[in-house]
Amino acid sequence: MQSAVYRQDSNHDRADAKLDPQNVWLWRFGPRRLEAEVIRDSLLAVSGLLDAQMFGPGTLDADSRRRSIYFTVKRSKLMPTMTLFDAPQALVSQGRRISTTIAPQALLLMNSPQVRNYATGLAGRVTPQEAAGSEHVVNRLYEITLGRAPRAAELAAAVAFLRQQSEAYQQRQSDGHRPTEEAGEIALVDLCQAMISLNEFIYVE
Amino acid sequence: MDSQTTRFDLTRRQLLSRCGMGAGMLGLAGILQDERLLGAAANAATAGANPLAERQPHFLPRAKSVIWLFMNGGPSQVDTWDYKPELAKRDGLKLDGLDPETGFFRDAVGGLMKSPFRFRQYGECGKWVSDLFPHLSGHVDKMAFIHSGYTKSNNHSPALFMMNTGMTRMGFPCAGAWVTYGLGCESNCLPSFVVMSDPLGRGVPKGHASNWGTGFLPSVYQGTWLKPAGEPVDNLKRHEVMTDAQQRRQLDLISQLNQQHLEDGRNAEFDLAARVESFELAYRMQTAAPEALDVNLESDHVQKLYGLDNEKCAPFGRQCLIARRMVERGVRFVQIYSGGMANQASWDGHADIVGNHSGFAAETDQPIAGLLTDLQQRGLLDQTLVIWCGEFGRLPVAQTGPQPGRDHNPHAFTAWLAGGGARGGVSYGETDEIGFKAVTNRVSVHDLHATILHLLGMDHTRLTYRYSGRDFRLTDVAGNVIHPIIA
Repeated sequence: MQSAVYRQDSNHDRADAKLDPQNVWLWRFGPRRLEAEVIRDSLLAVSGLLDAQMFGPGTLDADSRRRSIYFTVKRSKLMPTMTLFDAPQALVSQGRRISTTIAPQALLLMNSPQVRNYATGLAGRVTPQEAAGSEHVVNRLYEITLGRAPRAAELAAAVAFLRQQSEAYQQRQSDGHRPTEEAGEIALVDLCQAMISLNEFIYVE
Repeated sequence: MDSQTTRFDLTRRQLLSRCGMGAGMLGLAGILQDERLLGAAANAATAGANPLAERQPHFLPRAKSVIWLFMNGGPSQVDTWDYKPELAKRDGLKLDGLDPETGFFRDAVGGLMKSPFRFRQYGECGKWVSDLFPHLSGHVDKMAFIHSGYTKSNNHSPALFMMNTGMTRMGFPCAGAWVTYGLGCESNCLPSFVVMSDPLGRGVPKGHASNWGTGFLPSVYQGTWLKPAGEPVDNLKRHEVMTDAQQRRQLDLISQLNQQHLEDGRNAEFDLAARVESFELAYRMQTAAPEALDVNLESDHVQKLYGLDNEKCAPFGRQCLIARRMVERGVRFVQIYSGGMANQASWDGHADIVGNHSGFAAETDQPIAGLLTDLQQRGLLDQTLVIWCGEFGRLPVAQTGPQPGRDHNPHAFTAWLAGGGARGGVSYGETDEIGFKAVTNRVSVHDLHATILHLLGMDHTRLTYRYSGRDFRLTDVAGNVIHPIIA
């Protein structure tokens, strides 16, 4: 762990990438997918819903807002969100955590009521008090979820999405469908859900 | 850190795995014709972007898929398929030498008890079958009977684990997980290993999720348990506020932003690219999975075949029909449990063997017969292995009580296989003359597993996974393929 290779950062370098696109020669620390527990904890953290209370008994409640380490490991009742992202089944010891990419993981981020709830929480954190404009909202979202400012193209794409999605919801409202929230708010939740589904959120570099 | 070669290996595999996910790189499989590059060995599945990519079997398979009908609780062999006239002759006599600990209730061991059901001969093979199965008895010429099965535990959970994983302890991969690991997933919008349990609120089999778990195999190989109440599969329905167009726009945004991230020098990161595609696959699953589960799309005639118009057997019939719809769509391994968790809620006929077995037979007889007929009519029976068994058998002596039942018996059980390369109309192995113990051509659970893998085109000694310093198999260090029951 003291080696220069192990300690190098994960910063991307175009010149190096050109020489060794697959990072075979380890010119940087490769991207890694977050582990199941960390994914869920990160979702809770950015949504502002995380209950940071420490210690005390564990739980089998999938809707718990505490960190995933507080899930009770019951061998006959596994936590679907955890096993979906390759948490071992805890029946036997496991020397190494594997990492898979399967469609049910995407389904969870797209459709799970819990994830929608996290996205709603995140939207609540970035909704401007007064109309500060959608650019401000997108900037703030990038800061919270990815720890950086959006690039021009990203900013443009997100702003355009908010406008189009919001118009689509307004159209539905006028067609007689009546979502409970305002069209703009729903569109923002949709954007928040997209942000927490990004590769850049799920993978660390 | 992995060695350089390992890293190359991983990347190639990831590259190929993308083909399994159906987009972008389909031409590549043709380019990398070298078998070593294609990673045909099942061992190659330990990592990579899509561990469910379809893989080649070891040899030409007889069966493409399995429908395993698990008669949970342990059906009595002497009251179903294992006809024992001698037992009737000795009715009421004491069974000398019986260890009272053989079953579960040592204080309720009665004398020998003849079957309360009447047996008749059916089919060209002249198979004796009890009156419990008026529909299934018409299909005996499709079935290969194993009468000499035995297992290692007289207790439900360990015996269930034994039947599902080959070990009586929990923590080992189930047969369905092994098969998915070995062959990958044929369908690109449905899971490979699906499990259905009792839909009438009587509970799940003892040991719960361990009966469809993956043990030390990667979690992706675990069975998808269709929840009997509410939405059967998690996260298939998009949020009610969204329309399809709105979700599509959201996914397009995710894809666009991920694409920009990729093009920023990460094009070679196959994990990331695979993840982009996994959202497209997920989008397709939203319509494919509910469609596969919707038995109302079947004609009246087919629904009636499975007994959906009969209140008693409609719930199990629906599950059998779903199983057929699934294997038709590329699902590899379907398990359906008849009965719930404990005693009278399952085939566990400790008390009132007549009432217990009559009830569960009535729930399953017509649906399973319908399944066999339907599979055959569609030309699917040849490639679909249907398995009927429980976790153990029952004793030929009575378990005493107001209405006598039968206690657990690990020394003998009957299983039958149909379709998928099983030889119809044969009976393999025998119990003693009262059906107490398997005596001739004894078949262990490992032998059964080896035979199932064989029919699926896999050599059970070569389907291995390295864990904890050694190669593990479904069949541990045992198992012989039962060739006489293979057509």
